[in-house]
Amino acid sequence: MASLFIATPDFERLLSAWSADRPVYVPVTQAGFRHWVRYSPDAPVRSEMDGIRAVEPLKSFYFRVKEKVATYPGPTDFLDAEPGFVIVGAKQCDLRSLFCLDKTFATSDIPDPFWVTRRQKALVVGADCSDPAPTCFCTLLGMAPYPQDSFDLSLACVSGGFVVEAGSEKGEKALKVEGVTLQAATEEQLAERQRNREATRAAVEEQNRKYQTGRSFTELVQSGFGSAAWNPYVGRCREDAACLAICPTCHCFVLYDQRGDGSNERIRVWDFCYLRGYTRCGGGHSARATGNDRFKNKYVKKFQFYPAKFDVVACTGCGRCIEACLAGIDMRQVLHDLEESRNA
Amino acid sequence: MRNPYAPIEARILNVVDENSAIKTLVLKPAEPLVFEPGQFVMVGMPGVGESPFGVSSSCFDRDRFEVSVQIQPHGKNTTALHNAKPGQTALVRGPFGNAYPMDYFKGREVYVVGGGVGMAPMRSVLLALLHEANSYKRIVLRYGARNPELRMYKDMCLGLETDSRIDVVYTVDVADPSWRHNVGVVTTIMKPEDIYDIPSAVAVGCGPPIMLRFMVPLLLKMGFKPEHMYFSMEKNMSCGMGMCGHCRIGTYYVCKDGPVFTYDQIRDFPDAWT
Repeated sequence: MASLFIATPDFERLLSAWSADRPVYVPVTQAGFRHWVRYSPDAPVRSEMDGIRAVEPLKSFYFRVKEKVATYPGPTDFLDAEPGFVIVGAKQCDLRSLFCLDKTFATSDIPDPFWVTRRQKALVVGADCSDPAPTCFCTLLGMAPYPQDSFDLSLACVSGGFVVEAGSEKGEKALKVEGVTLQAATEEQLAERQRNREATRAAVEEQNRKYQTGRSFTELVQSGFGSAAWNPYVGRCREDAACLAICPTCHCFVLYDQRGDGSNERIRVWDFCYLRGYTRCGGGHSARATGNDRFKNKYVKKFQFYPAKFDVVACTGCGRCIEACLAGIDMRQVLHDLEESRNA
Repeated sequence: MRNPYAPIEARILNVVDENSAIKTLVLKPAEPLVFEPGQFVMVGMPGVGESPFGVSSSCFDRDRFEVSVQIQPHGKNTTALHNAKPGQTALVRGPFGNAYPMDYFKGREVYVVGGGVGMAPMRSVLLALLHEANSYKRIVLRYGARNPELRMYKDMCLGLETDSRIDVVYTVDVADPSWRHNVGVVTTIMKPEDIYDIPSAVAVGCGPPIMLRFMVPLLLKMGFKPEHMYFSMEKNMSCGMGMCGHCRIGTYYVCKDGPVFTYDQIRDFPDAWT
């Protein structure tokens, strides 16, 4: 699809139209952090399409922290009663996470109906990142800080509005709203977008220059499994799993049952491989009994398992894990140290 | 679309006391459960939860299946399953995972080694082997338990002793006066002469991780090919569908890529052996 221009007032009209029959979530800065906030045309929030990703990983809209996944006795068919939702302003680091998690939840021979129907119904509008945090490292993973994956529409802030492009038929349709005018983007607008994109990419590249490795992260994790370079980090890791809870691609969960009102409920809640009981079997033995085993597991999962299984690294460089770590562990430094230890 | 988290009901037809810690539940599911030897199911009691169990019955028995449940300290679901009575309703999801390649085994000597409660999926394999015993070159069973009381499937084991279709040797770690078989861990009854043509034979094993760790070098020393050594792996599983993450070892989900693995698939993953 061609690159179009939409002026800011028209964009507001789009949001308003989309919100008529389903919730629309936009990024809004509150108390210094950017969060997903529900848009309302009656009390317009100042949605921020530029800037950085939200604090909350996008996965939480599709794969909720905790939810009821079955009631029994009851139907074994999946009953879908949700209207779908619209996400506006997702950055590439979150868009890539949808691509990654589709591999686990959607392309499996037993697909997860919650994920699949939410993905089908949701409209995802990506937006260029313009203010990377010092923890951002998407470029180290071969990505760029603007929409590349899993978006229906992409937005880039330019003077007076946005350059908009459709990434799917669903996105094209969503632009057809009465009273909303779109024009072909001008050369100047495209040039402005290009300048902004290059500036952001250069900033991310520059801050990550010192973490650059000669070998791929996959190769480093695979060949460095027994390396002593892990040890200082293993000692520091508090195993609080904050990095996993906030990661956009972590998808572990545990199921439990509870007695409900006249029936029983099966609940799915997020779980984390850094927790000690995560691999403990009924018989008491545990596949990863030591902190060393558990610490490395995150890296194996993201950089070894996912590429081997799905041909994609399950890390999007969003940097949330670095911000969340109370022990100050920086994944980039860990990977860099793995390479250094090889060269030593 | 089917909701894969929703269980189906299964009537408990019988509860068999195997020993003080293990009971075998005979279940009749509301929908037929078609499985192959090596596959597992999630079984639980309403409102309590569910746990993974290797199916221990014959895959040729289409309208019912059996699982053997070892009661676990503080195990809510295993306790509920142990307290269950015939006529009550249990819950089932599955079957999940891969199975033993029984067709590939045909024409070969099959060396089945079971340890403790690991005998459960081995029973399903044995029943399938015996069902078509003529299709296999030889069927050999080596089964070890901690003591005579803790042996499972005592009636089946007794019958196999005089069954000309199979070569069996039993052992226990600690004997009692009634015991008339070998004493020692299961690896003490595994001998190279058990199998006539080791390069073409297949070994099939299930048991606690420590047994597998000792069994692997012995099988290799006996001359089994790594790709002919099959193991049923037990890991913590919650979903059974390759989503919840718990059972991953290296680049595999045990619930989906397994639970049956050959040694050459998992030899390099340390978390497979603990």
